[in-house]
Amino acid sequence: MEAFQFGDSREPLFGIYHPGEGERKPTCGVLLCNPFGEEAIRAHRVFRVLAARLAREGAHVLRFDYFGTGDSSGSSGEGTPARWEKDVRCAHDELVRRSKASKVMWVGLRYGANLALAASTRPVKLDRLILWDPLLTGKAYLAELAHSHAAYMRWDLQGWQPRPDAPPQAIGWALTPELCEAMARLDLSKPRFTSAQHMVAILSAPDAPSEGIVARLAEGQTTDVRVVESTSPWNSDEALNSTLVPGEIVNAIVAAVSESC
Amino acid sequence: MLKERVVTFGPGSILIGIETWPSDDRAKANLPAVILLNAGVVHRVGPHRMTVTLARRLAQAGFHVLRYDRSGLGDSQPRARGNAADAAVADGQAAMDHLTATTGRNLFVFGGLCSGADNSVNVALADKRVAGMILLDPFGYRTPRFYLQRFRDRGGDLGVLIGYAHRHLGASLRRWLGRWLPDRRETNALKTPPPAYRRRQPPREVFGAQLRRLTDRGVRILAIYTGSAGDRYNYAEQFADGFRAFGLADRVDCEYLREVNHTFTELAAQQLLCSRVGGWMERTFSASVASDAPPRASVQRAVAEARMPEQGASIHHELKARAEQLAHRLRDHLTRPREMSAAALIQCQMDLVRTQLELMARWRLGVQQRRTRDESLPSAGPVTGA
Repeated sequence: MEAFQFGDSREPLFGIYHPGEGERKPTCGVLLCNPFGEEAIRAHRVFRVLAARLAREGAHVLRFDYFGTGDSSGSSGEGTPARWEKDVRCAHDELVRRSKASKVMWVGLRYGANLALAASTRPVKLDRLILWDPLLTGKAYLAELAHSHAAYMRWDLQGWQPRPDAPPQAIGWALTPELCEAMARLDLSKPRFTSAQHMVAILSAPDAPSEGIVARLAEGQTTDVRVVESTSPWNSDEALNSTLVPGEIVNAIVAAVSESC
Repeated sequence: MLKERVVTFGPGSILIGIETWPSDDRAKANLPAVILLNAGVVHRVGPHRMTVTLARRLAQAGFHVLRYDRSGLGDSQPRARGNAADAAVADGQAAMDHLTATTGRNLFVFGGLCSGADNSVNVALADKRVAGMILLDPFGYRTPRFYLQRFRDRGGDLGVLIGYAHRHLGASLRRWLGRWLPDRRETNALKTPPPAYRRRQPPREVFGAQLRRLTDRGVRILAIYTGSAGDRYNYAEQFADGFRAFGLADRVDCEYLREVNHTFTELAAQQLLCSRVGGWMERTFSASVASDAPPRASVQRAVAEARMPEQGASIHHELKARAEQLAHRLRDHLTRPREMSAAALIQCQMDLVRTQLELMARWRLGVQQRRTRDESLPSAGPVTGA
């Protein structure tokens, strides 16, 4: 495991590379795309465990922080969806450069899945795109963020009331107008072009009703949808839940990668 | 522009961290480096990325900052042996060794939220290179006024006073009251399920003595309590009241941010944190090394007061010693409650309060005398600086 900075030296991104164990042909690279804001912090451990599992299976894995998030440069309100899509492609190049992988797959969680999907609409050599609980609509997600923020604050601070002059925010992260506008445009029900040769969606059980929409999100191909019952809520408020790893979903992702590797 | 770099250190380079370098050359070699620790199980970026934001704010103020994952957390590997508490101290010492080797600094300020505060204290107790601590929601101890405040906050809930009686009064008084009051310990045990994990708070005497030992050594401390600590901390002067027996009131800078939650979630709370911590670091450490800048008015006053062998100061020390003796007596009695009657307990508390009042009155008189004399002295000229 190697931690490093990459990309534009004036605004470097932070990444951690897990080289695959053993000699494997063809060489496979897997890029992990974080969800948005606080969810990325809560998903840190599950991504670390997933990366270690995939590396044990022989895949070379890169996980990274978008601009303005995690250990990457930029303040928390500076990142934009356009910049993050660019970061996905930059991290892809870094993974290929380090691993010399002939097959590359992306795994995105929640908003990270939508960002990966958006980044794949441009030409890129991508064998498989694995979407873990992608967001169906941005408007619903923004409403969910607002609800989560209020619920978290009320849980952590007795008598908390939102301040009328407070800027839009979601559990510690600024919701800038640009971000809100871009998120509000998200809609998986409209099929789009993708460079990915294969599409896999892994839905934890509560999202299963979206199965039909997710199956038709890409032009010219059907997404292979797998519904996985998960009992570990990695994204709940208790202890900032950064310790819980949904093993069933990790297994499903490892299986989806191994099918192509 | 801030410069950051990824570093690994510790035995076998098992620890991963990010160093943030000061933004300009104001940084001097004798300015302490800052080391920020994990909060709970959250990796080195901290809840809502607050550790990153704070590190960059401090680097802008000229401090060299390191934030890292302790062994077994985040992206750092676990240590081969030893318990978690010892490992946290060893990790902190490895971080200091690393910064000394790479930057030449040999004084450090440790900081952290919650368990990060606890680990900061543990490292400071074990290693004299620690010159300061930033403690966010450290251990808090209830006082009689805490219960009064809670009584008010809850609209006169008598259960609060019953809770106080059960927790803090002598055993004999408790037995006497117990004839009429329900046993809340049993009731609470039935109501509250056992927690899956718990932050272990040491007895007040232990934590107070630890902080006293550190301040005696010259360690500068900033303690910030948030509104989320409401079950054990609910008014601004509680730190001073709770640790009065240890004389910490004028040795530890303490703030209470009632409107802020434990993890500084709201954007305004994050700004407030950076402003308070950044300001304290600059006042406490930068001022003392900015040799080309004239000393601040507050520093001048402090130096002047320290040099004056005041009668007031000797009175203060004498009364403080008496108050501490009484506090020890009270504590001894509370640890052996069966040997103490309710009347003796009340007498002891009254003695303590009387001594404190006397101390305050005489101290005020001393300050007044000093002011009168200062006003009669010729002016020392204008004082510049922030």
